[in-house]
Amino acid sequence: MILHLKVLIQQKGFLMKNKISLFSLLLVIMACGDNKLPIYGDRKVEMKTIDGKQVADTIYQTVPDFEFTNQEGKLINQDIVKDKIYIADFFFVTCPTICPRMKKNLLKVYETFKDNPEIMLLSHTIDPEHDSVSVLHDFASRLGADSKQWQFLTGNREKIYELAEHGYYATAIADSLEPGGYVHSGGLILVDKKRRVRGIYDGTVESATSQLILDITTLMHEKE
Amino acid sequence: MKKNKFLVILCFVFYSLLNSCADEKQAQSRANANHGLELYERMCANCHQSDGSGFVKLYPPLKNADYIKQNPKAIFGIIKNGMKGRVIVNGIEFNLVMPANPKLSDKEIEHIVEYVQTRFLSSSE
Repeated sequence: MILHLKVLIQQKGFLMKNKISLFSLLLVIMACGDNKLPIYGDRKVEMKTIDGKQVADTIYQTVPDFEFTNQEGKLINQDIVKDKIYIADFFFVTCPTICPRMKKNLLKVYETFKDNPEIMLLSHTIDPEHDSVSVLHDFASRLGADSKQWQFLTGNREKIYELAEHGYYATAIADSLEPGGYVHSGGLILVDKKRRVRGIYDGTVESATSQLILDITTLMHEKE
Repeated sequence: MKKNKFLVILCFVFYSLLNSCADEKQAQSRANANHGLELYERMCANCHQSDGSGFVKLYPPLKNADYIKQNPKAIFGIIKNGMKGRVIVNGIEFNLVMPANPKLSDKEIEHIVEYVQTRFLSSSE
């Protein structure tokens, strides 16, 4: 919608300006060729010595460590997604525009993979002043997200915004002129077991969400 | 005879005037309904859905909503000023804040109310 012109990432494959170099974009496109999901972000090649031989090793960009409070009031960090594929998103409870559609689509993802120990969902609030632990708890239970598989996270505003931008290529900006007071991307971000971003999907669009569900399955069967 | 002819013409003119008035009214009400639909889709459907079914226990339904049927006059003010606090709609309790819509004019709100009333609350539904 026009209200969210600043949504920089509209659909899988659209990369944020200035964030990713042309080189990595090229690598992403190359990676698409062999039916594997792309790996987002910068990368560097390091030479390693294994059994006396020089071997090139590619180091990929990963989501940085984090620590937030979940809807149960518990402090959680990156350990909760250890060896898991997860989907991250950014929202706020009182958002009248794109969040309701994102949550409806995310609920579909949640129900598809419910009780699958390999899959998690992390929803971060971008309005931590309002979205306290109890507000998030109420929101989660009304949504029907009643398990630990779907975490609703609140915490330090700056840290959430920084993680959104640098960890997940998403945007979150406070803007009093926007309905609800914030501009943010409606992206659902797919992260693999090594905490590398593997896809960004428009959470407000049903077909993009269906693609996300397909890609999660692809990722589950990926062999490294 | 001449008088009669004049009367017939007068009747005819009056009749066509009346007709065109009715046509205009119909066209106007159609335009209002379209405007209501367009506004509803833009301002309301994100939460309450295009078919008025609402969404889980977060956003209440409008379709056959007993709350609106019992408080038909409240809907205008709810759209204008938003709503806070618990509300029970069709047996389910909702408690999320609905934001106010200061950018909507009274006329626009009236068109939304009309759309909601005819699409989701008319007894034939």
